[in-house]
Amino acid sequence: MKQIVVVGASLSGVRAADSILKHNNETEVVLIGDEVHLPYNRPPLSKEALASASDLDSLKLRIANKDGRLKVSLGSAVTSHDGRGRTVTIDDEGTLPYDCLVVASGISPRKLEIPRDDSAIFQLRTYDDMVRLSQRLGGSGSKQKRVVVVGAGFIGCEIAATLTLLSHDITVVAPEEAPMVRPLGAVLGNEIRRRHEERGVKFVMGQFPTAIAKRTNNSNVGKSGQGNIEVILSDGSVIECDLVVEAVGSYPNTSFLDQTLFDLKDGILVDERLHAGSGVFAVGDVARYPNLMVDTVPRRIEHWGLAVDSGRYVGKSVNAYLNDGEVEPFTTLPAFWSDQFDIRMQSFGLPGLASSPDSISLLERELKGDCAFGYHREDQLVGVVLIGMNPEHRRFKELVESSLSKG
Amino acid sequence: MKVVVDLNKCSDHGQCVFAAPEVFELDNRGELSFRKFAKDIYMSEELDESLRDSVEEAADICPMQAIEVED
Repeated sequence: MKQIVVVGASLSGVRAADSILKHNNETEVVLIGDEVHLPYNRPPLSKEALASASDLDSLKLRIANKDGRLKVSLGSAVTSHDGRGRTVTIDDEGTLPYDCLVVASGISPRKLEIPRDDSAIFQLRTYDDMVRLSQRLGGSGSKQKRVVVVGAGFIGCEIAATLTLLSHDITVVAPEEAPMVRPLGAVLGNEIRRRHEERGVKFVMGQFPTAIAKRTNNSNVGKSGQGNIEVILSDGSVIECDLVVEAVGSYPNTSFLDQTLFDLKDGILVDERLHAGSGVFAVGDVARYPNLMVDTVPRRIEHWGLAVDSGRYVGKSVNAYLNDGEVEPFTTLPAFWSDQFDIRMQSFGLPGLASSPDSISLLERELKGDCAFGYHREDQLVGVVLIGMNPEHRRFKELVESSLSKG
Repeated sequence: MKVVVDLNKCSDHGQCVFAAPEVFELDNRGELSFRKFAKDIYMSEELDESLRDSVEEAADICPMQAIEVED
């Protein structure tokens, strides 16, 4: 039996464990996670689960555990790694040898390095984060809270929508000119902003917080001592609120990896078969790899669907490595979705690769309703973002696939 | 083998249609076609074993994790 260690009891880690066991009967997998919970699905944390304070059971991921060859170790962190000796160290104590290592350690939310009162600042990456935020907001019927959401990416905008539907008062603060501007561009980003504003969300764009602190004059402090937070912005203005949700991006979890052997500049660099060398593979948000369907540039892409697909793929690559066999490269079309209020966004390809704002154009229908946006690199269509248009998804997916296959 | 879909969890993202077009379909309003046949839980007829890979992929790729494959 070959021993495969998977670091990260995450979505990509679970799918990787399944696929390794499925594609090679002579393997045993040890799946190691630093959270105490069994693996669960994260996207609902900013949406349905936050809205209804879901229990963990409803979010659990399926684990196949083929022939009982899977061992799951929860609440333990991999703290170091010896790439030449092929071992990892768990919680600074036990050493675990491996034949192959699959890195599925994901990302952690970034924190603004400003003067800050952490008791008033919430993040949303884990189930426990969601419970903490939910408790602080209070159940249904509790008093409306004023919330500042820092960050206007997808997570920030999803949280803003969910909390608005829960009748809280939301202000989004971000330095960019428009929400989700990097992947969507300013025209579509501003249209989404308009739709959020129609539903009551306030935006302060072009600003960032320079401090988040308790108010010093306490004339308006409620009985609970809450509701006295000030967010100081870069232009000197101040927003008063009850709490802050910080959604300002993330960094890949690679600090435990052997840096003498691997390129850890942004996640861990792997090849088009998700192999970094020396029996080390990576999947999901932490992996930086070239997708030959798009081009040869290695990229780290934080898409839920790619966490699933790279996990499902890596078993084949591990099996080929163990048997000196061949395997096709990992070339899944990147795709993501986001739900904000009743706005359904679906993306195919990599819209973020658009050459310039001028290479983004409305392909079909009208900006103010359901519509399709196209993103071009030079003359090639590299991505499509759909607002609504559910029945048309397949047609646009195929359009992007065919454009990319022409190179 | 059958697929069981929790129609309350399902949000009609339609990713299952890409994975297993033989089994899953969106109607012309963009809703999962099984909604016509069931309200809370949809259970399929017995499916051919040759569809296993694609329905397992559909279950894995469902954003709401609303699909289960039952033997």
